[in-house]
Amino acid sequence: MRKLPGAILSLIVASIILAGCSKSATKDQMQQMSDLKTEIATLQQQIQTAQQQKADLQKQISDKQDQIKKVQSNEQFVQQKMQTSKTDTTMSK
Amino acid sequence: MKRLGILAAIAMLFAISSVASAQEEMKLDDWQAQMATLTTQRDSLKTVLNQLNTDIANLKSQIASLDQQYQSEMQKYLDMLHTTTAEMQSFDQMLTTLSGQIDNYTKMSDQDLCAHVADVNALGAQVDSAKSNHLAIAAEFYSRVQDLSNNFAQLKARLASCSQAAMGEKTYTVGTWARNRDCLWNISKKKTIYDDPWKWPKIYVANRDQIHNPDIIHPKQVLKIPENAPLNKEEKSAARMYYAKKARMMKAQSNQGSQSSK
Repeated sequence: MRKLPGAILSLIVASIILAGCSKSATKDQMQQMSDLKTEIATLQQQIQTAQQQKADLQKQISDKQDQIKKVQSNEQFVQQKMQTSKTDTTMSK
Repeated sequence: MKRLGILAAIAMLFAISSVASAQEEMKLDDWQAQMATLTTQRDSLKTVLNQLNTDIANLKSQIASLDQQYQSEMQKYLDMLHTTTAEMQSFDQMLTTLSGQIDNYTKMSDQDLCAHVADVNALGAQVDSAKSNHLAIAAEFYSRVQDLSNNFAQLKARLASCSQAAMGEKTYTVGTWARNRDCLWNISKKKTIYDDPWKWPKIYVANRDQIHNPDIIHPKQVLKIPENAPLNKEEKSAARMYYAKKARMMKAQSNQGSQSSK
């Protein structure tokens, strides 16, 4: 029976050693991790904005290419009409 | 024994609380592993963002180049038409106004339209001016000018028919010889016209602007049919001239026939 308090005491000592010996991250290190997480969130937000901007610019390019094609096709149309009217004038002469 | 029990309970509580506090705090190993993962993720995101920013810069420069190309093509087009953007806008406005006016007259009843003959004729001058404008061949305006011209022609046709109706004039649309046997003689003979073939000179004289030889009329010609009345002086004279010409032609033909038989 006398051995029992000794056993309990050694249990207490062991638990103190167990809890104290495993190394934990410091407050600064935890802050560092938190800052890193914030930086990642900001980067994700910036990427989303940039992707949207890229899509808008691609749409603008496509619209401008269409506008240029339209003007070129208008030029061809006018050239054809001018050619036809020249031919008609020559034939009527 | 009682003391022993209390000691054991304290020991248990201490052990449990120690383990719990150790779990709340992050172990250094875990921190290092998580930091490594987060750093990799951050670096990868930075790379993606840099790439996106490069792409955006390239796209912006592409847009600037396309803008220049557009301006140059547009100027080429305007030079081709010998015009300016302002003139194009003005012509566009003119076509819109004319189109609206023609629409208004088109919606009118025949009776109302007949009361606006002078206005419609004035509109015709504007339509002609639009048709002869050098911008009428521009791709943006070509089909609009054509539509305008066609719509105005329809309006004019309505105006012509309503003014004829107002004057009590009938019209007759010439059919084909094969199907209708239409000639001035046969038209005049119709019960719905004069019921008298000898009145054909009335139709001829009334339509001299489109009939040059009474023997020749064309399908789809719309002939004015004057009121049924005896032939007037002009009509009788036209008939005499026609018969005399015909007699001369027949005589000439018979002379030619007798000479060739000899």
